[in-house]
Amino acid sequence: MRQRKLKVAIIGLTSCEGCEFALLDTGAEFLDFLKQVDLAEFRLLEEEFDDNTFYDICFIEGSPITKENVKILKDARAKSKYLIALGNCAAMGGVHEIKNYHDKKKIKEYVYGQKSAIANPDIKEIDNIVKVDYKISGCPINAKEFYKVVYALMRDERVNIPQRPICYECQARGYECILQRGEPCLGPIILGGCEAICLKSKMACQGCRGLFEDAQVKTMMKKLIKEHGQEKMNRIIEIFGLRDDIEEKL
Amino acid sequence: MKIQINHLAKMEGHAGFVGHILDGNVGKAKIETQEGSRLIEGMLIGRHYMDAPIITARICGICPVVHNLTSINALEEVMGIKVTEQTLVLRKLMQYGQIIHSHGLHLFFLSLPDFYGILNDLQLIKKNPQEADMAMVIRNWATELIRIIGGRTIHPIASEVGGFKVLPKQSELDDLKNKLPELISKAEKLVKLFIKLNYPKLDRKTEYICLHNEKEYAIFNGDIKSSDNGIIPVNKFSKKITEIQKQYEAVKKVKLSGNSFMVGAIARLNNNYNQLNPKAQSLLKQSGLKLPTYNSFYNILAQAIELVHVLEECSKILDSIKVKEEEQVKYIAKAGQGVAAMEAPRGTLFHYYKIDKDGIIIDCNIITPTAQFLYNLEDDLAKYLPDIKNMTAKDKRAKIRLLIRAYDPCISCATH
Amino acid sequence: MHDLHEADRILKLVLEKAADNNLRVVKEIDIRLGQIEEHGEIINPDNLRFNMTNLSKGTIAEDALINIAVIEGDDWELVSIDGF
Repeated sequence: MRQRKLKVAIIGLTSCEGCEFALLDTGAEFLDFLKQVDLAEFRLLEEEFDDNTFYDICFIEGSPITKENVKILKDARAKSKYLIALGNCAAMGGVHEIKNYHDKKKIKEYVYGQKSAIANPDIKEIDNIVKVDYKISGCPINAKEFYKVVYALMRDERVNIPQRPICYECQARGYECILQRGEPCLGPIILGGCEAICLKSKMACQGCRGLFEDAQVKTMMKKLIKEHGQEKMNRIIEIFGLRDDIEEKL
Repeated sequence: MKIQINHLAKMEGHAGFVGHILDGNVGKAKIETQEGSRLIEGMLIGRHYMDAPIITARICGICPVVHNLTSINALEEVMGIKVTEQTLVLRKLMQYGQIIHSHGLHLFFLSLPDFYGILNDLQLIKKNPQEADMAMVIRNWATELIRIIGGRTIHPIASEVGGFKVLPKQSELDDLKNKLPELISKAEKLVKLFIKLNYPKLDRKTEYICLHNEKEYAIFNGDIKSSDNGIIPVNKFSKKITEIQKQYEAVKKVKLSGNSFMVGAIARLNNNYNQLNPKAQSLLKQSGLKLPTYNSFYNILAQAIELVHVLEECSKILDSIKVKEEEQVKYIAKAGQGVAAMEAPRGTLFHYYKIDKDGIIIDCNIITPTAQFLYNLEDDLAKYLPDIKNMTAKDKRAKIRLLIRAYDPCISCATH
Repeated sequence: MHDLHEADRILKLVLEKAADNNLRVVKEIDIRLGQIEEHGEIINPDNLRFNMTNLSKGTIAEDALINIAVIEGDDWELVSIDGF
């Protein structure tokens, strides 16, 4: 039996913080979790925290946009046993990554004018900068996956994220297959674990959880592009930072 | 040359935005917030309008619903789309859910610790377990309301231009309705807690801006009401807003009719308090708060009173709503421009779009409440800091932190 | 020892504020030090001064006079810097 409570940190870089709120929204379940760990850092709940030299499990949410973000990310990796990307921004780039695929200079000038010295780097997933042990993607995350991963780590168990497409969960719940009625749904190549929540509201999957291992990307994209056109499909896969992952596999 | 710094160590926890505010340097704070900018408006240019409600929701994780709905309302304004009465009611309920859970979080988990001088929420929860539980129950109800109608609490799914992709189940709405009476009584208890708190003194003549609706305390739609300058339609006001937006980039101080202004619960209460529901009205009376108030600290009490008002509104709607299957309205996308405004928890939110004949966004502008009130915060600080200059550094810091807390700034929104 | 970390933080702040104000040399630093406990030890003013002096070698605050007033509370405050 473990003697000490594990030190857990949840650190946000640049983001909407939705994934952090997704945890807070689980209410009593989150408080229960907090009782079992030594919460070393979570700015939503505490503004003051010990300057810890070590984290057992560190969750990183958000995109590393500013120099400060990158420094925090690297420091966190240096002092963490496990570093986990929490949410689409950290794991896949987030909606922020859209600008990577377009003229980012023009985009910045549209918002701030030409004179501004706003930092405008290409958006990176955090595993472009540091080694990442696990990814919990989603926009926002499904909080259940957070608990699954963190409790497995706390019990020294293997973290098991089944490599199955959304379709598995969608069909199990009896949701209508909107791919079959002509909608550009990415479900068949996207990692399940979100309980097909978008499909529950009859919204086509836009891939915020990323590709699963062995997804048949070429075949699927060929079919979707044939039906909907390259431009439209590009726009869809840009929204949640999926486009670079798909282009890699084509 | 001797330079007075007075920098307290614990401020460093708030490096950046709050740290600069505590330094009295609001201008730098604004610039600081821009550094983590995500350029969301820029990325919408060239995209189909259907992407806007989805992407703008991601501006903020605590208020994605108001961005999603305001974006939808604005686009419907652009294309002259009239949705069904049921659609409007369901969206209104979503927005009420947004206000309730956001105020619930801000009041209990963010403001109360500052009043008690507690820096760690977990300590607060240990100290006030009953109130913590009440706050969580209320928040949970509201997040469920959004989920039942919008498909998901954070970043809704079912709401879109034209209506809803799927409609909520009546039985789930009925479940929520049945929980309301007890919930409202819990909320009243929480508000009484906030009535009893010691609010610091501050008095500075301020212009208050918010939505106004003849039929009800405006949250979902209305015209713009100014405490000083009467009522004008949103699209007339937004022309002034466009000027402000440009000035944000060049000039530190943003003026509207020559002054900074305040938005948020205190603005709504000051402008529309006679439209509050009965229980909220009663709590206002019990508080002894004289309106109009020019004390920004009371934004917190205003949020508390609004919390009860909005729950009473939900009660009225849920008592009578009977969800019926209906088709979404049919429409044809067409070129045009338009603006919509909605009361986000923190104040008036504006979304403006211009689209071409193919439905592609060619211009857009989003003005968040936090971006609007930062200049008011600077003016408040200028008035307040001399008042407290003889306090110990520790007490000064606590008071300033509380003032910032009272404004309830949403950095994610300010930095979109 | 934790006060090395605090010394470093304070010095970084001194240098940042000096740069903000275009100082070329920092001659004097005024600090208020509360009872800051770290890993079971209270930070000692003499140790703090010693560490700051060492860390400041080669910077514009080298040889600055470091005044530390002990106060109530559990915080430190960089009150002022003097230089030209």
